[in-house]
Amino acid sequence: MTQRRHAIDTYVQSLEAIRKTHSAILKQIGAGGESAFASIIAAYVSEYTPLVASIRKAYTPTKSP
Amino acid sequence: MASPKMSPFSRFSVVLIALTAMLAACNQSIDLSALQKLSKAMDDQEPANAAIAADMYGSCERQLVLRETGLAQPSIQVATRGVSPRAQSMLQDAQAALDRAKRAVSSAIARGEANRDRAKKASLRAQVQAAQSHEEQAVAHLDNVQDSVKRSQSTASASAKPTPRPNPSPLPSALPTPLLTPEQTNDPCQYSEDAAEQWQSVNLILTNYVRTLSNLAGASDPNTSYGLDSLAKDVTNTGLLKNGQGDALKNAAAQLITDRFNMSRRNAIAQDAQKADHALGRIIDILEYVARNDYRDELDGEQQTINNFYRDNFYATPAGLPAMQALQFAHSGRTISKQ
Repeated sequence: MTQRRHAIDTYVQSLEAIRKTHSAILKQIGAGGESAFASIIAAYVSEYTPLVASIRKAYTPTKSP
Repeated sequence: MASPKMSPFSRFSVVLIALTAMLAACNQSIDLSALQKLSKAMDDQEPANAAIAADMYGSCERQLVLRETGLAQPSIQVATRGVSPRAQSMLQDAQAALDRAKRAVSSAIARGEANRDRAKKASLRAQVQAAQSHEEQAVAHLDNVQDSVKRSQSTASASAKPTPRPNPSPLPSALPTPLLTPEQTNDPCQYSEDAAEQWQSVNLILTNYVRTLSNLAGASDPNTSYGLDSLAKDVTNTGLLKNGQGDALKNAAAQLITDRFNMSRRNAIAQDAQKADHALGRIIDILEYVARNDYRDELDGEQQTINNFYRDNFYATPAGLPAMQALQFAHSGRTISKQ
């Protein structure tokens, strides 16, 4: 139960990562340069990976005692 | 468009000039290869989102099974000390009953997991619909989630022991009136199942959008020659160019076409991403709201049900009372005196 409650916060963080990345992409498009694109996406991937792993772990069935 | 009367070489030149002119109009600088990596990220994000959405239904099912299991088991008060041999025997029986009850709890949890898997399958059915939805439908679905969960809570309360729930926080502002009304059902978890399915639908809208953005960055068809092969062959056949020169021109034109499509994709991404930004923000707001409020309420209800289950069915005698003289089976009112 604790893991599932924690997963809510992690899920929200993962959504915020998408929001932040989309915003950064738009900002970069507006700036007219593509040099930062790779770093934006790389930052997103590095941020979301542990979040997603945490969510999936919370819902991985465990054996009953 | 090249005139039919033009020679193959002239047509080739026109194609090159036109493509070059179009490229000159490109004013977007977007790293397409970087965007493509987002698609892979969504492959991982999607099952995680599906798991948390499906658990809204799974939580309801687990509560239901726990309540049913609790009603099926005798209420047992287990003495902890000072029992007679006969009472000791009864204590062992009670312990056995406790073990059976624990197995029942484990079974209930397993059933809850199985139902969660069922909810996952149900969520997959929604995937096709989600791909065709747009933001207004997403918002309407989520409003319906709010309604479904509230109805679920009231239905569950009517069919089982009431579970105190915190007052729901107010909806985010400017949400439209729900468009869908859940059908009446005797299944107390039907609404949670619907809510989980709809939640997952909106999750998929979000991940599909990002994936579409990524796919747009990488969508090209390298197997299409766009007629350049035959055009280069015609040019070569005129004898004006040698084979190698014809191939070089063909490759140059193919690269220009690829660049042209990349330019189109960059423009499309720049325009679509801007247009979608507001909708994306709204969808994320709603998804966060559902997770923080509706799903958390569901988990709170489940926690309360678990607490009630243990409180109602087995608990130890409080310390400080006289040595227990009996094991009481509350459901029958029978008391066994100490010998």
